[in-house]
Amino acid sequence: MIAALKLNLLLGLGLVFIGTLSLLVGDVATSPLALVDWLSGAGSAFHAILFETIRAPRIVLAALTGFVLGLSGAAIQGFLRNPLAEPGILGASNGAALGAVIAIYLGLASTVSYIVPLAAAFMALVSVVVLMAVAGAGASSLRLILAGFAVSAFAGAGIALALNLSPNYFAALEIAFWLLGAVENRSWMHVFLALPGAVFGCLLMLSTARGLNALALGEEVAQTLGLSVPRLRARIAVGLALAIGAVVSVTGVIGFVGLVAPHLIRPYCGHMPSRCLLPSAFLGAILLVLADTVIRAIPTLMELKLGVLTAFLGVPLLLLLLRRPGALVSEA
Amino acid sequence: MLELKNISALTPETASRKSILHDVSCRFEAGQITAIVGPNGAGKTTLMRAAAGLVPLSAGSIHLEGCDWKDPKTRARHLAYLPQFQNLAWPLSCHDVVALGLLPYGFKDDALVAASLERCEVAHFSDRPIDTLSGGERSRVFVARLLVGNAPLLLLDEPTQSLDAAAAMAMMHLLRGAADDGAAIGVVMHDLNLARAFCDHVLVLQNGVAMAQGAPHDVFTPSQLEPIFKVEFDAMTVGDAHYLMPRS
Repeated sequence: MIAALKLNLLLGLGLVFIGTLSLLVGDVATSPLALVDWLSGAGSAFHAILFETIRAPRIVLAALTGFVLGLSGAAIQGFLRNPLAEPGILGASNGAALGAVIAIYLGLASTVSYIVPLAAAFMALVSVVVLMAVAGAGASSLRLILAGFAVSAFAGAGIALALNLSPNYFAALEIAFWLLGAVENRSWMHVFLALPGAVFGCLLMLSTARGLNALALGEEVAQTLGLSVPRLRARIAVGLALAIGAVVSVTGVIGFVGLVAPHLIRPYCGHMPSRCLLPSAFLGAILLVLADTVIRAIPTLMELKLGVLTAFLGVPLLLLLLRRPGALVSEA
Repeated sequence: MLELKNISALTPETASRKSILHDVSCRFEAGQITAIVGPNGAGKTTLMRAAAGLVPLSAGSIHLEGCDWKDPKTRARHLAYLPQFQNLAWPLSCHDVVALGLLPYGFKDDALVAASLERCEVAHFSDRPIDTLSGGERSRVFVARLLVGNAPLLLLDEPTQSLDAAAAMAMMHLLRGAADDGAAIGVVMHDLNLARAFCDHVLVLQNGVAMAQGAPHDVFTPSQLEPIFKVEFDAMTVGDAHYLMPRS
């Protein structure tokens, strides 16, 4: 186990380092000197546009999305005491996707650029309101998961319906591509659209750290330690919906990071849920920035979607983890 | 210390709710171990959970000396509870498991954790993941979690289950030591002889009703226990020790 502060510092610095290097990768070849010039404020206008307007927003957005996914994964796994839980389990992810799909389906995407993210964020909130209404305020974790599954499945059915009834091939393709998840062609506006929900949601999830530790001993013992489980559940559900809804609304659905990041980091945090939260978030950010960098480095005719690559990288990683005894499930 | 006054409880969330505890009264006194015994399904675990604030009462009241028992945060600082099946979601180190016992007090203290591990004779496992320990060793670590905050009331649901004779004896010595230091202890047990050897007070439950309570030597007689456990007992005396043996 590595001391929490040291681990967070290491991962934070790693994220900054990888993010900075990532600025150099892309179709347009750039030298490190040009980057240094731009960072010192003496770069050319061309490099200013390349770094500041094109590459930096997508890197920051990838980092923000990865941070949210990593944190949400660690929080929901800690809360459900289940290493198989992933951030989309409560339905916010599919809810947000449905919002975006409806906006695209109605042809609103071309009218105002931020209508898709707004529709997605709105539907993520609707999904959590429906979830809490269906499950009830004092719902057990199992009831919450089942209600989340129902909300998620309903949103999935809505997405399928939109694809089914899509007026033309191009609309269907636009929906399908959006669903694959990506950070290409995203601007600072997308970052700022996602930021409030992501920050507030993350703060809510981080505030549950002590409660998640108590839950390691089970809900009953946690209650005898003074924890209000319904209150913790509400904070996790709302925080998760806000943060996931915010990032899905601008990037689409990106899988596996939320599942894998907590698993990768847990042994270095002594498996304590509170100690896993921030490191898992930083690792999620690093993984997604790396994945986006790889996408830009691979010379393909059509740029790979981020969601595709994370799934392709995530599965082997998960299989590798499965080979490590005791890495995925406790035998206690 | 903790007084349960005429408490009753019902089964949760079923169409026809049945009574699982009916008009039970007892006290857990400081410096004493109170054993809760009875056949399977007698309501022992429900009584323990009710005392820990985990079961809503349909009647009666609970009073904890010097504090408002109804306030969960205050209650958490005054009682420590070990359930019948203590499972951990993650393979935490023994040090971290014990440190969780300090959560209600809002501070970390590695010295207190180390002292509690030492007291339970598991200090050498401090950094070991708990899932690498034997059942008996794990039980002692869980008791160390109970003792670390120095809570005046300890409630344990069958802490000696699945332990071999030596480990069960070690567990009871541990609890005896805590009681001698002033803690009030309530413990659900199935081993009547162990209860007789280590406990100061006994409550016998049957079908949610308190059938008998008092000092072990008064309660643990074949005539009192046979109709409750539906088995015949032979009373034996070896030296100073008294035993009850179920007749085969």
